[in-house]
Amino acid sequence: MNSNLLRFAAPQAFFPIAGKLIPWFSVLAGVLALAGLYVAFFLAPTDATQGEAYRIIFIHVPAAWMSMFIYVVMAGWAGFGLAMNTRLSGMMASALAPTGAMFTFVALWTGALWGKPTWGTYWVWDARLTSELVLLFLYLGFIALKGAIPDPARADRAGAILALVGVVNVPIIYFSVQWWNTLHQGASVSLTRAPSMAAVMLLGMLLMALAAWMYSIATTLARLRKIILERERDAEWVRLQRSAA
Amino acid sequence: MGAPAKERGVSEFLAMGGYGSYVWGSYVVAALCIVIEIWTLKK
Repeated sequence: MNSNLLRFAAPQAFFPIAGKLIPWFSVLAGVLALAGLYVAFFLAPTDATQGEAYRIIFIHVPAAWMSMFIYVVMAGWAGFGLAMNTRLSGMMASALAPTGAMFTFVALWTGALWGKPTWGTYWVWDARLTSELVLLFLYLGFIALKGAIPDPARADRAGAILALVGVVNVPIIYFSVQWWNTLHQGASVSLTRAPSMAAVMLLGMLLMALAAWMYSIATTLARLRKIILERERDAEWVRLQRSAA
Repeated sequence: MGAPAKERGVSEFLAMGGYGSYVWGSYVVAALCIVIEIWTLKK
């Protein structure tokens, strides 16, 4: 790996870069969300079978995608930190977890409110819903475990093991609708076949998904900066940073 | 498929074809989660 890139693995070097990136990703998130909501509510037609209730998917699907994707990235950073003993990796994993948990909660909440008018029930213990609930518990467990261990290095190692063990749940969530007979419908959007929805609906969903990506990056970087300041509080550069602020 | 929502009135739009509580209940709670997350980061 290029040594110029490796120097950004130091919290001190990454801290100012994160600060410069946050406004860009925040603006992109806002613009994409506004565009996505406009398409979702003003351009996309009423669904023939689900009526207006289907408009929940414009937030439910991106939230569900992010809940799984953030967990994989979080486990990746945690595993990298465990293998390479890099401080920033554990901090990055900690910064990702609350946003991932938030999207998991939103996916479950919006799924329940979509399920009631379409399935006739807020909740069933089917494989997709149950494994998504397990994902929320994994995020909460990861946050609680790291918070319960005072030594950051030990907390990072323990959190990494939990994150890596829990990552097996992500393919279970994704493929649950194929592996088991679930009430939850199969994927409407896939990389291997054409989407089973109108182009304007797909556009709205993709815009909202992109907004969720940008939002996740902005909030993760903002939280990462807070974690860096907390963990490096005794370092000279942090004292200088705080006195300058 | 029916007409896009922009061709209908405000009250009809808010009613969401009788599914207003489900649709707005989803979006309002999601927006609240985002606001809470940003607020905690600003603290």
